[in-house]
Amino acid sequence: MSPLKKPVVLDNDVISRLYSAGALRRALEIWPKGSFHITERVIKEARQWPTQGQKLVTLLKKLETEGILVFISIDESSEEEIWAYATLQLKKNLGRGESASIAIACHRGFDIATDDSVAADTCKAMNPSVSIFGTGALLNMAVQDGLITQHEVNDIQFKIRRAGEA
Amino acid sequence: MSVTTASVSTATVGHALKQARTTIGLTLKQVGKSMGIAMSTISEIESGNRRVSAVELYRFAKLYQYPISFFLEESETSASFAILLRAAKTTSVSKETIINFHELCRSYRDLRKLVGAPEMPSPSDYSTSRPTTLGHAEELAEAERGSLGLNGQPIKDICDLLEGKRGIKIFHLPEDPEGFSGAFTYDEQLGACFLINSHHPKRRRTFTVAHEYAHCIAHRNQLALIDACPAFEIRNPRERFANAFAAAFLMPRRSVNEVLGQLVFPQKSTLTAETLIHLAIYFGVSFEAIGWRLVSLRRLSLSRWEDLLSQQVPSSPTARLLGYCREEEPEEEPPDTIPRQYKYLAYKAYEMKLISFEKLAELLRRNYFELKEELKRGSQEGDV
Repeated sequence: MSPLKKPVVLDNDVISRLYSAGALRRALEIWPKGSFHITERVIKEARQWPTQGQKLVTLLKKLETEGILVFISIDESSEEEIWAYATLQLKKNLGRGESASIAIACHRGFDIATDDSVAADTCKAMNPSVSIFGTGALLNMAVQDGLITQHEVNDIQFKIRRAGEA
Repeated sequence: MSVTTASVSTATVGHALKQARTTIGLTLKQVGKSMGIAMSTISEIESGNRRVSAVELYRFAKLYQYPISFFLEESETSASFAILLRAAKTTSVSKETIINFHELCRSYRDLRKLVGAPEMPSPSDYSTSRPTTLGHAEELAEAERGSLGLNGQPIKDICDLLEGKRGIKIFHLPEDPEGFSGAFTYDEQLGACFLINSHHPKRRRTFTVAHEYAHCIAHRNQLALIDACPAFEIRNPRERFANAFAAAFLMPRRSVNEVLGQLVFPQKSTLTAETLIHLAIYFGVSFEAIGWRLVSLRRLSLSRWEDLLSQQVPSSPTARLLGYCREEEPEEEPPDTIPRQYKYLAYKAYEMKLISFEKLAELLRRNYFELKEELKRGSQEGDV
């Protein structure tokens, strides 16, 4: 059984960290399908990344096709979700992608994976029941549940550090 | 802080919606058709007589291409930017550029507040004394140079100077190079803001910034002006004044005479193309700008200037040898959209953990992944 109790919305920086270590697929495919969601904003931002955007978008789309990732966006018919998004945007401390991720997590009962302390604190303040994981915590949970070996996680974390993402 | 339909005044939302709709030039009928809402309903919403739902507001924001938060903030409408937007209709500058410019100016103000940066001094306002003559322009430029402590030196970076010492927000955005040079706005909340066409070469932009500065201190009561590529021989008195100020500000009479004294020997001999090229490089202005300045200072006859103008001097091998790059040459780096202090404040806010990395990228108008890659590369190379 997955140690994740709810679906998790992945933020830009978790994607960036894992991708730069060449471990995005490996870190996500070990979990049950549908565990991870990303907002359209992440894909849009990836698409506009001049050097590696094409490659990253291709990978994200592939992961979506395989059911490993789910693409989501703000529910345009949900008053609560839109107001949560507007509230976060009014704070002016988060980007549009993060605001969308948090608004969605808060109103759909999802959790969040982010390494950005400002995003994590803002999410905590908005809805304390949303669990927030960093990349390291996600990998460690996978080890504890026997989805991946400690050795492999050490290797991923070494690659993350080597890529300058620690 | 939690926003709900009840916590935002219907008048605030309605006013902002109307401003956004008129800004992008949509009629009530067009909006109604596109959103499937009756025209009368939109009219009621805009006049503050009907509460707008979050779902409707989100759809309005998408249609108008404004951030949703724009419609929820008090006092976010600005008379000077409204003037600029109206003026944009008669020039080639796009509304999107003006909206982007407004957004950047607001972000700049918000960043100062967020990091607790001290208030910047405002540029002087001479608009009540109505300076109009070219003599006034010369005097005003001299006085401004004096108060900026320039002492006859050429201005190394006019944007840094006016941003740092006068608190002017100067942004560079790409626009049609044929139809737009720059714009100025003055707003109680945002202060003095300049928009400069980044598609113009550096020397041209330098002159435009000085030109907008003239408007800012001498025509502030106009609140906003757009300059659509004014020629040096322009007839409009206000623009002539701004050009004369810019010329005197960048090429002060005494300095021009001093440098000429070092370059022209024997004295009073005819000025050559090479002398003008040298002066243009020295003052960081274009060949045309120095030529017209010398004409106005009576150091060059109009007929000689017209003769030099016809010789295509700036593209000559001699000009290149002397270090004058042609304006069209691609080696010139395009200017940053974002001014230096704004960048510093944004980075400071990120460092102080007041904003997220994604917000930093948005504020700097940079791609998230690209910025991350760039900073990582910097830190791997030993950068801090």
